Amino acid sequence: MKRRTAGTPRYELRARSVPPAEALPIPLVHVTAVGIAREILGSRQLETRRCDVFNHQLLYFFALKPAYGLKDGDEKSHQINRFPFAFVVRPEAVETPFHVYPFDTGAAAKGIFAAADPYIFLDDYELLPEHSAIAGHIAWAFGCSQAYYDGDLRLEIAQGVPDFETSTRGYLDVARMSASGSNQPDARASAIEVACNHHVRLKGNVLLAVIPLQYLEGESGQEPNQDFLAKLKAEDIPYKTYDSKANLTPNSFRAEITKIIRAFYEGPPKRW
Amino acid sequence: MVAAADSPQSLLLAGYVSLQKHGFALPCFATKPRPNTWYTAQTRIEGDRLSVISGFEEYAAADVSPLPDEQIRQMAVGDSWCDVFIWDGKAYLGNPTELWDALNPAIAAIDARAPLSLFELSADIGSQERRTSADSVRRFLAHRYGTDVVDSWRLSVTRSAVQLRLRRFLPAARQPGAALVDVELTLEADGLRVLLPAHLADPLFTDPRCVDWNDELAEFTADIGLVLRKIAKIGAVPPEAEASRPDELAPPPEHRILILTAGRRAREIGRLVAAPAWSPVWSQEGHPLHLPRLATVDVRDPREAWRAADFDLVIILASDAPDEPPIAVDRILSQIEFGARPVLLAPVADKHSATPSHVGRGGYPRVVRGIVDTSLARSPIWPDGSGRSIDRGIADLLVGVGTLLAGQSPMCRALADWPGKQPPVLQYMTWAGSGPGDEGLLSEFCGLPSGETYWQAEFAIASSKRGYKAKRGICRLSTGGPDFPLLVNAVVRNTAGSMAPDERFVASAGRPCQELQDRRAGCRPDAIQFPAHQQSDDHCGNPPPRAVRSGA
Repeated sequence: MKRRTAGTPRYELRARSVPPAEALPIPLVHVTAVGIAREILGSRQLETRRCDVFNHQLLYFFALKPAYGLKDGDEKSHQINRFPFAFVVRPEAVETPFHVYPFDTGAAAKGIFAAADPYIFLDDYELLPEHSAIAGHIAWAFGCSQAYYDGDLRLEIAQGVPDFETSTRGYLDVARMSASGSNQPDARASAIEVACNHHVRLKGNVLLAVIPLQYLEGESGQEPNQDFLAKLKAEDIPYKTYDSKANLTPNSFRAEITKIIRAFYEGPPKRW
Repeated sequence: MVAAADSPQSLLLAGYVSLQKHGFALPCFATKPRPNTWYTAQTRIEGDRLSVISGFEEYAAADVSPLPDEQIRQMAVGDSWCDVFIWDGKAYLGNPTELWDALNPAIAAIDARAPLSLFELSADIGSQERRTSADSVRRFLAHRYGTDVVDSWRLSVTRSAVQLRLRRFLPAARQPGAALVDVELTLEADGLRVLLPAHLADPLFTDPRCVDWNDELAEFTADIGLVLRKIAKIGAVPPEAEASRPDELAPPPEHRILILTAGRRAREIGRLVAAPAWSPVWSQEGHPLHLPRLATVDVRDPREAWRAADFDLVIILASDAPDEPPIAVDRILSQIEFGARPVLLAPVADKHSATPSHVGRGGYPRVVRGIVDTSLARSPIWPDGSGRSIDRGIADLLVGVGTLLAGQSPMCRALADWPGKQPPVLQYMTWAGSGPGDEGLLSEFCGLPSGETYWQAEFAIASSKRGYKAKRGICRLSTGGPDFPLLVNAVVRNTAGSMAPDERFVASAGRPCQELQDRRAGCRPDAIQFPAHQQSDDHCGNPPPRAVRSGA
């Protein structure tokens, strides 16, 4: 999927994603590699990085759910496919998004979405750069946040979408790749991407961290107040762990992290 | 994830990606020692360290640490999975048993600094190793983060254990769409419930080997300190009707024993506590109970976090020695609520003394429901102690008493119905039941000075341990106890026609009598302090149950 170099984006999805009257801001999820997570905790903030797709220093999130690639990683998911580290962030941490897209633009730019129409530019899919657009898009495309979490589009969503509304139809082709019944489900295909062009302080903004279980014991020989979890605690970040056994597949890790974050949203706390 | 059909069939295990500076790492494979392209391996049963390699998949990683040339090994599809474990900057390779053996000199250090990694390492070694390392994890996490994190850890590893055992057991659980992520655990006040999606629960529950699956999982959860109460199908059972629905497995009730050690010698004995080799078959029940689960905790270790509520029986193994500070048993007892579970006191004397412990000499607090007669382990009629040290015999004896009290056993019911104001003394003995001397041993046991025997019962013995000889046993509750001086005198050997003290039971000839005299003279203070019931009577030289006898 290419960037538009001339002309005006069609923005057809913006018209479809009309925000509900009382839409609540939706939490954001940042997934990264454990090595980078160390740097994040060291600097005490989620930092922007150079994005080659948009030529900006950007920090990326997905709305509500963790979505990351298992293969063919792009800049945003580089090397996170084995032992990921997820932060659930308050939506208020990003006051004004730099952009909002209905899927992972990094994967799209890399051509990961095979179902995408090659003649539709990436920019044409952009939603309004505001939080309400997230709720509006979920309401239109999925009906509810539960279905969005599972990547299941509304059954009748294509009804009433004329053939000439090419970017809307192109989006549906891509988003169907993430459906739970799909042969090759890829959560990135329907995960709403939110980017901001500023760092996000950890303290007061991170609602939950999901980390590999092994991190509970810290680095060997490290003082308890210097280890990874102590830093999380210092930033008032609650955490959950997932089993990081080496011969489990990345699919298993992703499924567990997704479940943990879903459970975090749903409660009750005793259910794991 | 399925490897592509054209993926390599054989590669060199030549590197690893470590998650931390120690513990298990991700093994990485290549066609040559310094490659441009790395691969990871998949196992036929995902997450199973005992499984075999089913394929290789390209892995785009830049942070692979190469293995030294001498450790590089050829691995092929169909070979047993090989792990990489990092410790002190060195990589160890092998299956769980090989790793355990290779790391054996460092096990104590791993236990202290990386208990979670050790637990993961021990998971496929054996129940005893798993239980020991789980205890270390529990202490480590409780000390660092609190008991909530202990529960989270328990749930997390149990969830993985359920998923792994489902994959091992059910072919359907190995399919890509098996949705093992839908397995749910709930931790209630009375234990753990495992909820399975219908497409896994149905084939599991209808499989005749299901009970074995259930038992294995129950053993795992018991090892980490959780009681598995129920395995059920998600959505099939409304909570209020759980007990009457067939869509579930109800494991046999678990009996969890906490042995609290207080005092130097008690700690030494506590280290020898091992899983019981037998369980009683009471004539009333007709079938053996499941073996109880044990946890041994040193009350003075600040890292130890324990809750009496997690156990069905608490045994306080307390020792006194003149050079040790008094042990605040009252503080231990204050952490154990009244009534909910039996609390037994097992006093043990100083190692080189043949005289009884002073523990409880002034009377027993109300929370103590029974006194374990540890002196039996010194007796020549104690068959379980043949060839074993006295300390090991005492450890066996504690576990034996705990086993006899498991569930609603006759002995447990008799203890609950004990009418005396002071707690009874609990004694038992086992024997092979076939040798000519066995009946003699039985008569000796019955002839031991015991005050008034309130309750006594015989039982048969079931054991899965090869070569275990005991076939029958007898146990009793009484108001009295062993008359220790008499017992000491009985511990002799017939040497060339004269009776000499047997060093196996008595540290040195003549010493017991001297100690008795010392005690009579009041040389040794009581080392254990109780909150109340201190009596002014001098019982020195007399066995502790005398005090019981007067109050019962």
